[in-house]
Amino acid sequence: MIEEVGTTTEGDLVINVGPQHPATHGVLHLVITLNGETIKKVEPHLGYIHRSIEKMCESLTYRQFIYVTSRMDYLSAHINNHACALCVEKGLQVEVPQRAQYIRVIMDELTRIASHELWWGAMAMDLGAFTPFFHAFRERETINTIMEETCGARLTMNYMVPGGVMFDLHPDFQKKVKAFIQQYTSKINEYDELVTGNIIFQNRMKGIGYVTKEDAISYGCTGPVARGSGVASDIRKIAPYDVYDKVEFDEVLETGGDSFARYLVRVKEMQQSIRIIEQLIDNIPEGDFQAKTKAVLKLPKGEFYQRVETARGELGVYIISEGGTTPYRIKFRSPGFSNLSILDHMVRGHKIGDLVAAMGTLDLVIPDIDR
Amino acid sequence: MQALTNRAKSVDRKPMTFLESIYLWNIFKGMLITFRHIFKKQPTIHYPEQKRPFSPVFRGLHVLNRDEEGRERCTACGLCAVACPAEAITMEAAERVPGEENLYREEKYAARYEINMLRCIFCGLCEEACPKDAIYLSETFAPANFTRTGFIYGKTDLLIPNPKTEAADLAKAKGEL
Amino acid sequence: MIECSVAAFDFYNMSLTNEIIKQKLVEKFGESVTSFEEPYGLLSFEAPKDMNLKVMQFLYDDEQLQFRFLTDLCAVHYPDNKGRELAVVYMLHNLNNNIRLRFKVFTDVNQPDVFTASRLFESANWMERETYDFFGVNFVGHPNLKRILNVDEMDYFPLRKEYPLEDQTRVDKDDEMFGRGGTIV
Repeated sequence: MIEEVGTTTEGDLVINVGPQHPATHGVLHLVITLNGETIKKVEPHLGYIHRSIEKMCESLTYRQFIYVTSRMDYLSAHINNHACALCVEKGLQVEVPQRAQYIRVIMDELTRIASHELWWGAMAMDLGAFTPFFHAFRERETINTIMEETCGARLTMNYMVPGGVMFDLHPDFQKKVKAFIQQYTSKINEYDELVTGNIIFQNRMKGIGYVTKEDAISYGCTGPVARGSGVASDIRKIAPYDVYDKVEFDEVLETGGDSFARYLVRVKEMQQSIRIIEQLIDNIPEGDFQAKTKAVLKLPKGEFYQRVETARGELGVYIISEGGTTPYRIKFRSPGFSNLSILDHMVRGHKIGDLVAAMGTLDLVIPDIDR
Repeated sequence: MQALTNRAKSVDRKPMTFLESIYLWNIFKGMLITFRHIFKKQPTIHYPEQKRPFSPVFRGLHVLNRDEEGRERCTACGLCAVACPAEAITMEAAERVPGEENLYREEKYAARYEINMLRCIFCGLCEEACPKDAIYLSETFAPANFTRTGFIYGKTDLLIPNPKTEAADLAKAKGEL
Repeated sequence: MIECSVAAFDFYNMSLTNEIIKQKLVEKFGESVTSFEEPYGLLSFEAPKDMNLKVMQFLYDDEQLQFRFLTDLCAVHYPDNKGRELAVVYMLHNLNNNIRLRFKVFTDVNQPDVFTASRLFESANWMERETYDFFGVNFVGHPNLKRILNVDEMDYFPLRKEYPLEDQTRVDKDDEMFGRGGTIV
């Protein structure tokens, strides 16, 4: 695994970034070949926190494996759980009560905002601005508190069960979410003033890490990375699940294809998430929060596929069942894995200082890539 | 490549104006926003002087419950261990002998009950699986420790204080005192 | 070039249906493509392993089909399925008509050679490396076929069914470090 670090015969410099590097947001190891300050090649080395979740899930029951998937993309843990729950429900052919669907979607969008907030703060920090991180965490903290009061945990929520959600909303939920929306909307201007509109920030982002639409599709990019290049690939729009087909929201698309376009997609996406929550929060129907399911779940023999839009892109859950209580094979198509594969292509020819500006907009969560 | 949609917008790429090319102005603007926050309400909590309360549904450290008379509720049926995705729970069952009726509620009890807090993922499935309401996740979390063995919680760590004999301890643990 | 608009993304209003895809595939490949299924509306079929590239190229190039987005590639191990133990599953997506299909090729576990799709889709590069890493499928023609998530020194393919979840021969995994329960009484 360890490359020859030093100078190559052509006079290029080979250096390591990571595995422990603050800008790689986890344990990502990049071996970079440099010609002077220009990047000639980037080779990501993965797997430092590979836990073989796919193999682990093969020995866990359909109730249990959902909670392990929170540990993949820990920033959108709820959406991961959602994907698994939907996939199991597809196999069980359970009708999820309306109330549960509304709760799930609201929580999904809260998770998405929290995830983008963290990315926003970390992105600014990567580029040298430390203050936005605290601003982002102030809003994120409110979401985490709502999560804790509703689900019982702040980060790995484990709120999903096949057939609905684990327990009902607490009475203050709507009030708290509305208070959050108010808090968030009152801060948007400050965000824009502090970072988005800042010319220093813009100059560092514009024209960096250019990804054409063809490349984005060929490399299998999804989520904000693809949408920054103008590929309409939002699963919430193209294959709506739960109540996403009932709410009105825009799929944010930019054609810039550079880091700034991806930045704008995420910032605007947070506002779309607020829009979705606003539509749902007052209309949560009364009724059950969980469908009746058997204590021991058995999926019929067959293959089940479900994809959802996480904060990073398309997460696909592919369950192959042989009719038992545990999956025969389970495959997670994680968005970060494909998104990272474009890194080499998009930073070639840039200066080393721009590497972080390009890599940060991929929104990498390493456990999601390594699984 | 054909356009996949007609809704995509392009990023504004005007050249910088003179005012923008003087970066100092933008630095000043950013500093001003940061400065204004000195006079605003603090969003931070001054841990450890202040502690934020946990919500009632918080899934923290496990406790083993007793009934009103101070008898252990757990009957060592093993359902929590089966439900656990992380295989964190081990237990050994034992038969109650005559004379122990004030200690254990039913004929069978857990002689050994251990939870490895390093393995536990605090999902709450044990709480859901328990037919006797014996195991609960409390509103606190596992404190740090110097050794790995310190994270294996046995029955003495998990059982709540006896409401009959150690009422004061119980009230303290519940935060009532 | 097909004129594409917002309406093309309407999930219920797509012009390309599973029947058309199936018809086109059968027209082109005849009896080679088999076991068509539509579980939950997702067209899935099977192709012989030496034709996987031809099928993908056809799906990619055809004016109407245009499956140009490889979203997922994985393998499945069926140890009881003699002669066709390993299945490589491709998941393709058509972004214009928003339709998806899945197809499989089966290969012998003793000679798991499958042609690489990395010339067609760049995303296949890493996905095939991952599949090689876990199942040992040898993608013929792959530019850089080496392990991606596991260590390079590993000499087996861990997601195959003959390997249990935990290696029982390991001695460093004692109860104090990894175990269930522990040593205190």
